[in-house]
Amino acid sequence: MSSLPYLLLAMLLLPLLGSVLLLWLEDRLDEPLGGYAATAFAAMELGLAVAAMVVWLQGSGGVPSLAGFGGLPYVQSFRWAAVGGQSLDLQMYVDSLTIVMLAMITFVNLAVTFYSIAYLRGDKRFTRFFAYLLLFVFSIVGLVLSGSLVGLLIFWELVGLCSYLLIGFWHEKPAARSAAIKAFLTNRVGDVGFIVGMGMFVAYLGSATLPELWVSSHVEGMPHTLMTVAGVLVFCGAIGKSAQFPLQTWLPDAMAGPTPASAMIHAATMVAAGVFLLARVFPLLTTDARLFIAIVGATTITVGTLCALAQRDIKRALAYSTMAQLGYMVLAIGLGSWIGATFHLLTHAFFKSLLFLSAGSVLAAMHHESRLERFGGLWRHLPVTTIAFAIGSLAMAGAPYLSGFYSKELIIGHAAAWSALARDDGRSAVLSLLLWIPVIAAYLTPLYLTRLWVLTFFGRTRDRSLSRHAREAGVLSFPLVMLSGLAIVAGYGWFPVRSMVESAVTETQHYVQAFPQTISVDPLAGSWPVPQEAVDTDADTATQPADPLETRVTDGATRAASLTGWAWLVGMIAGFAIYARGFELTDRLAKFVPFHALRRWLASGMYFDDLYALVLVAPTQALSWAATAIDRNVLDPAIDFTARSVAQLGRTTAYFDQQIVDGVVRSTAAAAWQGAAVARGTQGGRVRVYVASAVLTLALGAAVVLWMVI
Amino acid sequence: MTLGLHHFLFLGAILFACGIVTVLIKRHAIGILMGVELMLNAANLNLVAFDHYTGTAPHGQTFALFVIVIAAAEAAVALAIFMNFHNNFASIDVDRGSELRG
Repeated sequence: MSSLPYLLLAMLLLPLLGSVLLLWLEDRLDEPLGGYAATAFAAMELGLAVAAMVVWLQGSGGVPSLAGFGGLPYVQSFRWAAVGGQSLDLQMYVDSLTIVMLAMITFVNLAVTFYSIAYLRGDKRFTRFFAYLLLFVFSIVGLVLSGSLVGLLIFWELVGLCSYLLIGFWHEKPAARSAAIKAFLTNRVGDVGFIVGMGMFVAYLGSATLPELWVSSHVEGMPHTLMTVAGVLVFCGAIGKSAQFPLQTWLPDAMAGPTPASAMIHAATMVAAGVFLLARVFPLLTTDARLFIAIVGATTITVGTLCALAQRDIKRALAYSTMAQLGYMVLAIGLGSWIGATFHLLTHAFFKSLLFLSAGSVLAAMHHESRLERFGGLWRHLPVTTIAFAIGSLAMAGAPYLSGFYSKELIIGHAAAWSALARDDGRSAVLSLLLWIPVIAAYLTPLYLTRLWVLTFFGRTRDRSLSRHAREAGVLSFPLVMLSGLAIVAGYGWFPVRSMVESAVTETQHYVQAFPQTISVDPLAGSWPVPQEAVDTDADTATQPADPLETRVTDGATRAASLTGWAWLVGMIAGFAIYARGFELTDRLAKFVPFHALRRWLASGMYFDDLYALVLVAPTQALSWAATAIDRNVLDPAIDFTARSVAQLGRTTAYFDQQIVDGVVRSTAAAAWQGAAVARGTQGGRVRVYVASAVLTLALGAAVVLWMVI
Repeated sequence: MTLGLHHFLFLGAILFACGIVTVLIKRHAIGILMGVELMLNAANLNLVAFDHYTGTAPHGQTFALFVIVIAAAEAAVALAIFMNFHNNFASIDVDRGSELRG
């Protein structure tokens, strides 16, 4: 019996316990103690993740039959609910992707938690922040462990809740409040699609657990169109969570939250949950759905990259860059580059959290000023941050021998192979945009990152009074160094990221082929690179043109290297050339009206907020105004009239009651009272009156008797 | 003129009327008791008179003796009540004894 399930269960429950404890003891654990406790929990969590990885790499992964790296995933199902004949199961599905995701999450979390102790110094809700972070870790760990759509949905929503809590952490600021609500509502839009798509899959394929869905979608089948629709609907959830076009507008506003939360949630892990979901449901996506996903990804790359070029706020610029990188991952999923997407997800998590924490370090030194025009020349004050930001930028720009280089080249290589195949099939030339957009964005990415770096750390000091006392906090730089290390090495072959992701593919294939009803199902059919083993096992069904496909992939990699190999250098040189003297050159260009308009267009996020304000918010407000008017002028008068009639009726009844019913009762009472007054007179306690009346009565009686006798 | 039954009956009636009037108009408890004694003796007179003029056996006289004995007992009880009355009200005016608020 392997210790793996216990390790994973402990990983799931430990942060929940920590979160509850911190919330419970919030008043007693003041300033540094709550942070230390959370750091201890984060460290234990990382320890568990490393232990789980060691157990996983050592051997069976809990399954005795197939040993070794590249064996089977560890799967454990639990009955959650049964509706009629339909059972909804929760499942723990653990493959190499899960293990490496857990390690990444817990590592970033430890860095962020440790960083936050210094970053949130003096905050009046200090301990609560850490409780939220731990709650978030619980949610994302649960999400990563889930192997059923139900479990994914539950933790998906918990992750969304944590995001809401952390964006609105400084809820005294109106901007933070509205950003939190905006993020929550925008995510709801996507989640509706997720739930409907999930319902379609469950209804047609009869199960909520992913492996069964993968198999039954191939064996039993589901109408192709419906499957496309269901796939696209599930993708809607990822659109919301991963800030894809057209639901991308919440991500830049989410920067109103504390910077460590932005680093953890809105750059490294939560937004990647959408990509993780896509990776999990990938076998259910039809080619049409994948094409749709690829187009959305490419659109997001365009929007994110262009908008990042013109942002004047360092955190918003990084948010748009996150959006563009998530676009890369989604595009990769759409093109079938399963490994490319998950690999990029993991490397991106390291360098993007590094970039955000560096930005946070700048903000902490500059009294939470985040506008680029107030920065400049900060390298003298913040040397470690300068280097860390440079490493993060280089990794993200795809400079050789840094992690981003490997994952981005992989995606672009697959895009090149895909577009070559599309051309072979004689499909529309427009589809080659799916190659050219990421290629051009690869040139623009180093440009905007260099812009940020140069404007922040380089050149003339633009705001001397603000930066005079800027000083680097040693505690803040420690996590930067940790993350810098990983941002460099995460892509290397010996580091267990890429190899883990690749073995996840073979594990999935092995697992699905072990199903009793499986004829020959390749759940990751249409994904690259074509796994060697899958080709071998399907040797008898040799209709699959494996060789030309592989040639295309190899050609694509070469082509990617030739297309974007030097992009990082070109972009950086351009960035230095344009921004070496601050905003001087661009400001001079901005005198030229079209350029000025372009800059404003991009700085405002392509006016998507205004568009939504016009198309969605304004009609909603108009509708609510009309509804209010109808309420006031039609419904209210009717109700008022009814109420008034009832009141009038009540008054009439009351009059009747008081005058007639009460009158009868009162006059009865009065009569009784008066009768009593008369009767009372005879019972006055005066003895002689009694005697007189007795004598009189006797006399009267005697008189009557006499009268009757005589 | 010989004494007839009716002379005694008249005297009894007058005595009884005197007794009633005494009871009605006297506020003094002893006076009331005296009125009552008058009424009792009027009745006694009637009993004795009827016995003398009409009766064969002396039943009426026997009754009169009983009445006298009972009257004595009654007077004793009444006097005891008056003592109590006097203790409570410091007076034996019966109108003072009215506690009902009719």
